[in-house]
Amino acid sequence: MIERFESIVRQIGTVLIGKEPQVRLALTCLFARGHLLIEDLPGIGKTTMAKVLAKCMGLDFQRVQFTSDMLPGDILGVSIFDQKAATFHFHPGPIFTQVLLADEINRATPKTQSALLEAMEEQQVTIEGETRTLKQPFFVIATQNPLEHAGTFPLPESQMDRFLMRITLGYPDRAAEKKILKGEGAQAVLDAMGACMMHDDVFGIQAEISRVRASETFIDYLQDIIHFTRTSPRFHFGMSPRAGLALQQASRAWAHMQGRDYMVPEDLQMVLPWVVGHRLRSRTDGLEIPQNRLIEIFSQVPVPL
Amino acid sequence: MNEPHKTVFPILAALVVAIFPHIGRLPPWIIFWCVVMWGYILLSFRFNWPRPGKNLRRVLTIIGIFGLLFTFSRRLDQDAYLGLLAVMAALKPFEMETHRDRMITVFLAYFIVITSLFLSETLLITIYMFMSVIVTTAVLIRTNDPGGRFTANLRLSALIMAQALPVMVLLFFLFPRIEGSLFGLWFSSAAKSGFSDSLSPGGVVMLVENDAVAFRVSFDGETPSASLLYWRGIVFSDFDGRGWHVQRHSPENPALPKGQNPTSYTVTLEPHHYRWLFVLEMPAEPLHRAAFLNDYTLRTPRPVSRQMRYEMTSYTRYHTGPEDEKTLRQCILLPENSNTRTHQLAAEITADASTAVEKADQVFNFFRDNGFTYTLEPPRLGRHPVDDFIFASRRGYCEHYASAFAFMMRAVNVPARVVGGYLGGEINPYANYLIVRQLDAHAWVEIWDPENGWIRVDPTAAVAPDRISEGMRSVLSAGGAGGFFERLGGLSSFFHQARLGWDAINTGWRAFFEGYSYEVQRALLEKIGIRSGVLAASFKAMLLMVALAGMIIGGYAWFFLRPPRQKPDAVQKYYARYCEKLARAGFARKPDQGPIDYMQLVLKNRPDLQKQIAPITDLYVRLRYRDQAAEGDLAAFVEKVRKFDPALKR
Repeated sequence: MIERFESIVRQIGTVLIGKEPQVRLALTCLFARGHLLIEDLPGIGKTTMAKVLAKCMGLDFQRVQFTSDMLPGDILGVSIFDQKAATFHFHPGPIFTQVLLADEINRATPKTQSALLEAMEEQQVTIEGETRTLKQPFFVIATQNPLEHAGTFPLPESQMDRFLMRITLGYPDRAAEKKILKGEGAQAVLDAMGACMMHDDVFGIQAEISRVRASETFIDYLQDIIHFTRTSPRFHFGMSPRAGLALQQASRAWAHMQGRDYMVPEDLQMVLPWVVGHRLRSRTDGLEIPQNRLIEIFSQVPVPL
Repeated sequence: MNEPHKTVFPILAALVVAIFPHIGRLPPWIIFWCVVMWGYILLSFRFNWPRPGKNLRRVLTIIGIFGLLFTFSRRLDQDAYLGLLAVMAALKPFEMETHRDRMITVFLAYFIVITSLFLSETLLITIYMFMSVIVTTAVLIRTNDPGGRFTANLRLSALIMAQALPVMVLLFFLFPRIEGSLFGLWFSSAAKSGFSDSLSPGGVVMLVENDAVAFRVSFDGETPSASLLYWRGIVFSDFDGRGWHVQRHSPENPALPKGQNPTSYTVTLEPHHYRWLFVLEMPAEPLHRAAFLNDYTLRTPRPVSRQMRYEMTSYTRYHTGPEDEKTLRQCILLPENSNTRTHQLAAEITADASTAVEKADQVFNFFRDNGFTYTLEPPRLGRHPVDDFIFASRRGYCEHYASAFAFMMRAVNVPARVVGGYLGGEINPYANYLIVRQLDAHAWVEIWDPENGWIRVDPTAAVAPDRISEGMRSVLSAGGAGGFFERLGGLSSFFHQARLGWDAINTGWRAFFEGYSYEVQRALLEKIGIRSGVLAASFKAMLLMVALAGMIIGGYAWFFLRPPRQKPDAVQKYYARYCEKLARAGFARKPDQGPIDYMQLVLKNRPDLQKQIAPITDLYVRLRYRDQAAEGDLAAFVEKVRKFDPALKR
């Protein structure tokens, strides 16, 4: 089991050099049936990551570049009147895929953003009174540029909550950078790469993850963490029950990828900063808390014996 | 009122519980009154009978008050107040329509509970009072919050009580005491018992049938031998031909008797509603709370209506010293034409004796040698009781002998008087004090000898030496008389022991409770630096109270606000032990470190521990997080942690 994941990680690693931890987290997020928000500068490899994930899983891939003049129909699809048949004909939008890369999601207007986010939550879209189920698995990788503020519509907290995890890719380190620079280019590798698994395997893995056990002690620890965010003076507000469920689900996926069918506190600790980072605000300035500070703060919560 | 079982019945129960200890004390008609009223209330709900209206209630109230006035017209003591409470408590349930009425009735129940302090069996009553307060509080809770189970109310009430306990103890010790005793007011009983101011035939026998405690004595040193335990109470100097009486006006402050080997002791006298105190013969010092009369008895200014403690020193062997002529003249007075045959007889018996002691010896021998017997059931005596006794019946007990002996001594011009009191007592083996009961009542004679002063002569010794040396119980068991317990044979000694034990507990409790007086409190407060009458001291006292109250509140807050702690189970316990062992080896577990992280951290530094740590961690994780531990896993885990030794290199 571990082997299978390791091989995926390795394979992705050939394209996305030096980003193994992020790849693991992205896989965790995918297997946990969550959506991923990548916050980083352009050119870091967000798109490559989305592509390689989709390809490796053998999933369909679509990319949407969000702009401020975008309408919900541009994502969901529109019905166009067919004059020959004298009927409306539905042209599905890019959302009818399995891996959707929503690039620079904060550039779109809230109306468009919420159209996407609704689809993310419901796994279905309703267009002109007709409900259409999305392809399964459905996985959104959204990106946003944290430094650009002009002409953007930042996602409100309630919508940030829809993303299971938020990660940053960061610059590659020197060795990885060298590899990138010497290499033949990601696109060529990507094209040459075959799928590592059938897309039915994804369902299997997702089903197995839902069977990962949460013991009493683990739930105690999880609750301690949740309670801590609600009572600690460092946070502006605590974790919602949905955030708690998300944390548990992410831990499950992580544990599964470690080859376990039960969770240990380490699983939770591993995914914790990425799951709660975009859900919590500092009390003092109302801003998000950096990852390393988060890890430090959460180290105050003891693991139950 | 639609659900009487929720509103009225609990309140009735509280009233019954509160009244219960007074059943023996209340006049029977009040008990009957309560039973009728409460019974009617209960049945009226059951059968939908009409309940008395306002006018009928008024009439009943007036009837009750008249009944009380009739019963207690003579004495308006606590019994009367208790009676009033009971009569009203019986009527109050008829008007419990509103919440306010119900609350008043519950408070009435509290009030009745407090009246239990009137009763003397303190320890048992105290326990019962706690119980009734818990019941009443539970009813109070229920009255304000109907619904729920009564057991839950009781539990909450008991909890409140438990929480109030430290405050109660604090108040007991620190609440300002009044000089004298506040409680003393309540600890009194109305029934008179013991000696009266005259000694007429039959009086002492009535006492003999009464095994109530007269007083208790704890000696500072050794207890004197039983034959010396003459407890002097009253001296009867006047004889009217039939009975002996106390001298009306007795001078005070005689010369103190002299003697050797003083015996010091503390007497706790039960209330007897007379003015005399009982002391060991002869008292060597006056008592500041009582007058010391010329006949060496002590008399309080007021009847003893509550328990009284006093310390005394006596000489069991004594010389009383000179006596004034007037007293001696009075002590040979006999009425004219009374008991003339005995008069003659005395003269005949003592014809060849010259001194008072010799005369007494002759008369003593006369009683010993002429078929006199000791009995508690003597025949009735006629107009000349001494003549009848000596020439006809020759059967009697201490009183008859003392009376006849003193008469005969007076007949031959030896000053003599009858002394009433108690003889002996029973040592309580559980607490080393002496219990003197009413049945130990005794009468003896004192004669005047110019050389030796007043000498005690106990004519009963001539006929029943056992009574003197072994006490009243020997006489009672021989005669087949005695109470229920004595008739039980083998069980009797068990009951007797149990009774002595109970008496010891009760006495100890009471000594603590009552002994904590103003003086004791002041001493206690001075020990912690608070002197009465100083302003700074008041501040200190207040500070102390605040500090103590703060401590108590803090303690409660800590107790109730601390995070709930679960009992550590075996896994937790042994994993903690494992962590401890590793911590001693230099690898303390950070609180947020999971077991696997911890293992990896340790192994990074000590790869040699792999074989020990890996299975432990594996078992721990399996037990804690896998929820499918096999049967032997816990035992294996415990075993491995026990054997785990970071110093061991493999």
